[in-house]
Amino acid sequence: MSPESVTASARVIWDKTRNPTKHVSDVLGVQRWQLRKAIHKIKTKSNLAPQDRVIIYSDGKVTDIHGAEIGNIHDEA
Amino acid sequence: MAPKSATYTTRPEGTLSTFVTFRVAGDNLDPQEITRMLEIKPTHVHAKGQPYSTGRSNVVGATGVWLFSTDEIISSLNFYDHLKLALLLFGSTDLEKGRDWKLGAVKKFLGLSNILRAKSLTATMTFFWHGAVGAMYPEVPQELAELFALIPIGIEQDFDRDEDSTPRKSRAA
Repeated sequence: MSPESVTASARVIWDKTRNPTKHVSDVLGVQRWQLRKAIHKIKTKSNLAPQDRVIIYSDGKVTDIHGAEIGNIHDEA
Repeated sequence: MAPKSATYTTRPEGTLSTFVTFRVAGDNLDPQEITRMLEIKPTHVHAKGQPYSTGRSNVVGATGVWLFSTDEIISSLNFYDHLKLALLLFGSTDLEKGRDWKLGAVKKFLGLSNILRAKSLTATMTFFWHGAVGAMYPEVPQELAELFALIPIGIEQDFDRDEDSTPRKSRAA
């Protein structure tokens, strides 16, 4: 993980195309199905497809690959 | 058009979460136009460039989105309950028997198709399902994909199961 992956308040915990692992949901304190549901809802609102890559931070923030904030896991889980 | 020989299971065993969404998106979206045509209110809508809050996040819509999400309406763990609800957008209420694809549905499909083309918009139906380890995936009727391709309405399937955490046996000799 590169230094720029870490912000003042949160760090990147997932930036891959495939579905996040249980480790990611554990870090966020939610069940894996809750994490996947939240990501699906966030992507849908942003007109992104399930296979589109997003970045998930340790505080639940989700951005698209350009860094634009598109939601928060804890708002949807 | 409706499935005549569908044999998919409607049992929700092992289902942890499921829902269906339908969205129309594009820079030229007029949300009211979609609401009037489908005769149903969206569960979320924003225009291109319009800011909205999700609670913790402040988001600016990169493009316009009219969204209907069935989990905002029903809490069933049966995938097909959600699919039937989503198809109500077009007037269908009975997927298996196919008796309710009436003229109203045809009118809505044609109306949607015209709007999509005239305003360079896209329409997408998404299917979400998450099950326990070993749970059976639901099946999306093929007839639906064939019909949607004519409008066109894209289909996105997002199915997965919990990971099997059972330790694998070592193959070491």
